[in-house]
Amino acid sequence: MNTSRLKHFFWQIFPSVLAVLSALLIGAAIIFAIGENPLQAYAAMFQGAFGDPSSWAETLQRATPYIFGGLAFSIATRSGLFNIGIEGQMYVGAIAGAIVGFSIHNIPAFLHIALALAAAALAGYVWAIIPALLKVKSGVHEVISTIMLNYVAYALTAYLTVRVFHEPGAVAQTYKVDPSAILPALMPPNKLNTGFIIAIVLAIVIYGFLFYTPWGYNLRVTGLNPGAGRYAGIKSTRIVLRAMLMSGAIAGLMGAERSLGIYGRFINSFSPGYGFTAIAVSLLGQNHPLGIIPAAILFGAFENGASFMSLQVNVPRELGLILEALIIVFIAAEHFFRDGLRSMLKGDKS
Amino acid sequence: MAKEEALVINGLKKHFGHVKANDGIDLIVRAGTIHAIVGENGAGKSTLMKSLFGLHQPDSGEIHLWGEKVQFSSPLQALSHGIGMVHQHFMLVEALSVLENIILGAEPGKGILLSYKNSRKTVEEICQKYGLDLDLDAIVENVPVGIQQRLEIVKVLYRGARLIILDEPTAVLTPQEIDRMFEILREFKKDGCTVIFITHKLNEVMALADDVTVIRDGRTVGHWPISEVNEKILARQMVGRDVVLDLVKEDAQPAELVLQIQGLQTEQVNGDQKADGLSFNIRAGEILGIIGVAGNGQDALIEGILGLRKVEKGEILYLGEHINGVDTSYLRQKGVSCISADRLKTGLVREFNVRENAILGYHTGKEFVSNLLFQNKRIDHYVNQIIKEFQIKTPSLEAPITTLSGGNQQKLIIGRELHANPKLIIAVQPTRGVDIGAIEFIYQVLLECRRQNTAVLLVSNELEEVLSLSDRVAVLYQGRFMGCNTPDHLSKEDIGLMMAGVRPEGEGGSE
Repeated sequence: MNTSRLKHFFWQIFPSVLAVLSALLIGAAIIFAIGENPLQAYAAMFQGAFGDPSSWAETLQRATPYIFGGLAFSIATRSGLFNIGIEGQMYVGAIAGAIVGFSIHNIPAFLHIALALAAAALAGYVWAIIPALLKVKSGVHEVISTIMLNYVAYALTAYLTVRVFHEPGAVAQTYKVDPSAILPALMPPNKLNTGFIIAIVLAIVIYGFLFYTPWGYNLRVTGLNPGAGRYAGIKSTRIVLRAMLMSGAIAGLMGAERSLGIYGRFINSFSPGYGFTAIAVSLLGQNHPLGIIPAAILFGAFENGASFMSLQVNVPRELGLILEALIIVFIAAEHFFRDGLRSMLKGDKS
Repeated sequence: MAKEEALVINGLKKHFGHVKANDGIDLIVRAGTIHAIVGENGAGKSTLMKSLFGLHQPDSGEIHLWGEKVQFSSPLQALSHGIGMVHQHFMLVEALSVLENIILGAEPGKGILLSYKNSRKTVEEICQKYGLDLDLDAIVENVPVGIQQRLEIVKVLYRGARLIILDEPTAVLTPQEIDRMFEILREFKKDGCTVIFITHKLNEVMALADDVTVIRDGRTVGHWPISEVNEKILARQMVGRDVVLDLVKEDAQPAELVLQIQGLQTEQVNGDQKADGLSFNIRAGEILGIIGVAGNGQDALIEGILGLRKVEKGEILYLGEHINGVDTSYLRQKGVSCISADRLKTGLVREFNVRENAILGYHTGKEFVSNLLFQNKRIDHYVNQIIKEFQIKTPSLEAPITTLSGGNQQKLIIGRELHANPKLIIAVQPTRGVDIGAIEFIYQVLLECRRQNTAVLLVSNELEEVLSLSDRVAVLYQGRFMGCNTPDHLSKEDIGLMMAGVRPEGEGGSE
């Protein structure tokens, strides 16, 4: 029984491991082509990402939005939805958190933080209601509606930043949030903050929800085989609606972690595409809440380690992004890895 | 010896990892005969045919075709050697016409231009020769399944096949269509063609074949001229032990009304046939069999009862309660269970393991959940119980459901659906794609349900199954009943006619 579990685990993570290894291999070829030693470069990268506590902190700091975003994406995906609107939901969450952060004064920190996070989650939730309802009521594909809402979110947050809550100056940013609304740093001076802890706890809670409760079961059945769900009496529309809203709420928290934990305010178009990279993270983690954590840390490590590496050896820091991109390519080819290799190794009997 | 045997296969092996799909197949097919290959599902029939047709390469063993040793690396090569295959699932382009489908892959003409004229003539000649009636200009999606199959056969003939392989060809046909198909195959034989006929229906083997080869667990068990065997012997060879398909069935003891349906008419969903005014009753301890060619409103009827499809007109009463439009989950709680038609589409979740699948539909029950969490110990206990009671072969509770054979998957579904002691069982094609051993078991289970005073609605297109299990049989055609009676008042011929929409003389209307 244990071996079968182990086997199952192996087959589950196998494509991801293979994708990472393939990306590293091609990355090595690129480094070699530049005329540097790949082993040396990777060693520098590793040291930059995990060499000492402060590099760990930076890696985890960079991983945090990917954990939130990966969770948001995976919960939608598990119900059969492709939420490509995490970026937009994150933006509205980030600004909602900031607004509560600088509009309310003189309340205890824990309450202020809780209110700001709740506002952020609510904003992401509301942003997800539109595509969720469009999907359930009239069958509008969520990919279309969420992409369009991303643009609306950019424009809305830009308007609020520049026209309504603009802090005087040349930068398009809002007022600073009150200190009581700042997510406490875990290892100052690094910006790694309690948002990371929240992300980890959330991952564990979602794991339990998905695999140990009837609701999570409903959600997975709906995503995997809505036909069987129908006959089992599972109302797929209700499940899909809820999954999308949950996804949006988590994306909202993802934004609040940045505005309340890193910048201390909302900055216009602060994201380098967290919400999109998070999709790759979730896929690399096999859409599994606990798989997303190492996947996110890996992405954080690539970005963090690459900047350190560029100082040590003559390889540009963009290598980190190249590795991420390569992983995305290989993960996109996952079906080949999983199904193709599996049937090659185990044989398919038809 | 070259002329006598069309096909000789010696010691063919094909392993997939540790799965021995073919593990020593011997086959001798005499030229100009109809040769049946029988075996249970998973015995290796399809793998054998794929090796022969060049779809994959055998690990060892030899194939001799017309006395010449061959090994095909693609179906094209097999085609050019005169082998034609009619697959179980048709390989047709639905948006194209019949003629276009026939010439697909062997388009005549010069350069990039097609020449339909010559091919039309050739196809018409073939049809005339064998008496195959085909409208060449009809669009395939508008053509009934029986005709689509005929089209597949013409396609094979058009390619000049002299050895024709048919994989489970009768599954989708009415009894009359089956008879017609047999005539066509005999016609081929007269013409010198060789036919290999893969099936698990033994009565068809007896009716049609000259020789028969039995395959079990990837090996050839034996081959005989048809005169030396009968259905019983073949069944025993297929399963490896005696099979009792004679069912012991006491007289029905119908008790209280469980399901009453009056004038049921469902909403039209896509191109699906809707239920169009169906009325019937089922009492406790009674099996009502509904037979019809697939696509005549079976889905609409079942989904109408289960609350999965909108009911436009009519009344559904379950134990006296109006259940039009109630939730499926409510019905499940009230003792309605369903063995759905397609295991992997509506009965199971392919990606789930045995344990997860064993609670599908009952997963919110108090038995399995407390404090909002699944109680895995109790679930394990329950799953082990149905595994034991229904003799389900599975490596573990964690095993992915797809590692189980079709029969064991089906037994798991049946175990799950019967566990809650339902008052009404809707069994749709309960033995589809399962082996004889499992069929026997499932029949016994359904009869036991009847004994336990459960009402059973059996929906099937297996004539034998419906006739031998049911207390009453209703024939469904285009969403209406063509007739309803006890099995001993209905002949197979009458049922076949009604399945095709013809009302036999002197037969009353629906109940």
